Amino acid sequence: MGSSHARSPSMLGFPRREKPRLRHLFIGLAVSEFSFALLWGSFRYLLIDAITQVLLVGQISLAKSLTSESPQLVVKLLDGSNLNLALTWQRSGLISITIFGLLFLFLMFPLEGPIWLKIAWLELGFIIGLTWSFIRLSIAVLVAYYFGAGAFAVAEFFTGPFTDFFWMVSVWSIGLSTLISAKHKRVS
Amino acid sequence: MVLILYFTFMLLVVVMLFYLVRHYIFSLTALYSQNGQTHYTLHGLSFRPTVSILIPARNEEAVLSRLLQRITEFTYPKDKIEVILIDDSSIDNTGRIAEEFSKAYNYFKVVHRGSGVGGKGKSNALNDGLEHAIGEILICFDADYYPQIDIIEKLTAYFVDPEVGAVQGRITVLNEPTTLVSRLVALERIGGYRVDQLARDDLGLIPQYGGTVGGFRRDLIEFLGGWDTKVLAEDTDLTFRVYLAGYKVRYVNEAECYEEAVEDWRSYWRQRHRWAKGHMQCFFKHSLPLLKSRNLRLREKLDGLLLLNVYFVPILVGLSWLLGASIFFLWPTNWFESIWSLLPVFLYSSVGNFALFFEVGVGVYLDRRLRMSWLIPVLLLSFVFNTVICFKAFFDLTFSKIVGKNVHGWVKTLHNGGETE
Repeated sequence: MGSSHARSPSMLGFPRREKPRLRHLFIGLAVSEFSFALLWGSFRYLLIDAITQVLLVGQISLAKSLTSESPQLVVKLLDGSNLNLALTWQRSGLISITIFGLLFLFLMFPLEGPIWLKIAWLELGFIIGLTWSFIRLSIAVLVAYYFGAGAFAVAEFFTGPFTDFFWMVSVWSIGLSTLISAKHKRVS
Repeated sequence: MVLILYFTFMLLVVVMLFYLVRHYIFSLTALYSQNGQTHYTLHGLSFRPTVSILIPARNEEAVLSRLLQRITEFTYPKDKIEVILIDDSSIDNTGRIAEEFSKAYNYFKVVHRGSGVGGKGKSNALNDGLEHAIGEILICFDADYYPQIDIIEKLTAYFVDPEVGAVQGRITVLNEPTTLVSRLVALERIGGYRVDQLARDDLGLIPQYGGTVGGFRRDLIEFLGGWDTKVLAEDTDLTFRVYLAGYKVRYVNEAECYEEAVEDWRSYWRQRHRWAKGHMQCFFKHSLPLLKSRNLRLREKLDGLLLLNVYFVPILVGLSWLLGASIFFLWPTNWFESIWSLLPVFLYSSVGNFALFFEVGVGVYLDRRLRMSWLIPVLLLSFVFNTVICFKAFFDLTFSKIVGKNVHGWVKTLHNGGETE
């Protein structure tokens, strides 16, 4: 029983209630607003460039169109037809990244722990989200190229918000454990 | 047709959002509420009621002596305790172990239930125990539990308040490192007790009696007619009967007790299927009386309804996924994609003993569990499992209603004593 007792929460002597770190929350708001401003302005265009470059290396014929309301990818499919993909906010992953930012802001920043750690995890989350968006869309385009336009919707469905949320929760959870760890070290 | 589907989908989204906000409030309350339950309960009081400890046990030879030995170490005055061991037609050495303790300690009693009457569920066994109990307060423990030595002081302290009809202590998992399943159950317990139950107590809502590590006033439970043997979730049933009778349940966070959690998916399925079915029975039994009751405030009624509905949430989430997928493929529109992006949030609404992922995370954070939060994403597994379980439980219940068969079998969870053997 000894090991179990060592884990007993009430024996660790930590305070049971906290005061929300509102200053951290405001700093987090400022940081994420700055990040969002950068992302929402240019990310879709960067993403379309990156996907075009990478898939062209794989001999997949793509064109990009920046004239319409949303930037578009035009994929020439194996059957000779063209697939126009508008890179909407949702499709680009920006909605998911925004949801992550909000979750992180309101669930992590008010907790005890160093502010730099919270900002680092927030930014890391953004980077992971952006990277995943790139991978997800590239996979969907590849699927469309080989299996047709119908398969694109299926690929988008399965690599869409469901998987998005998996990385969000994972990043949040690991970030939380580093906060606990920082707090633990400080108390020790 | 399409409009109806959209409307239904939006309705489900609203319900899920409601749960989302509710659990966010719970998380904030557990974290920051300064007016809520403090770390220290009232056990400095000289209030020492007589206590009957009821332990229903069926084939629990692997774990029973651990609990009984622990009870002998309790700090509560022994002249105010009686321990009633209900041997529920065990075919192993449970009865013999109980007899040994009753010979060694005069405050231990054993009630043997013969093969004709025994083995018909925990409620039946507890009702037998109730007939022999003489304490003012009844405290129940399952045989696989391992309580703190001063748990009786902590639990009984709240009965100073005459409005309190029942109390519930905190359950933590003893065999947590054994398997992935036991780790996930430990996470669920943390979210469920450290955050959910505590917040409901702080906010004056409906903390739930969990069937064990809790107690009642004996006269109240006698007035209520004992445990309802037709309901599989006798704990939820009793919680609502207590509230409907004008009393309240208090959750005592620092009254901690260890349990042996299930260690494999098959046992998890059996246990949760029973809980889901029982909880759904309670939904049909208590929803209307709850709404009509004059003993409850509006917020208690609302929380009570959400609590009763909780095992339907995975079903609703499953339906919203099916509906969302149908609309996504058949009638895609741009605005729908935004709603679609929110669906995973609703999916996670039901992860972890029906608490959101962040509620579990807050519990882990408050308990300072260093690496435990890494497993939170894996709770998705138990969510998917729970969705299937709840669907099955709902179909079983509906089927038994249709064919008029209202007797539900009690499948007992087996305990092996785990790592402490």
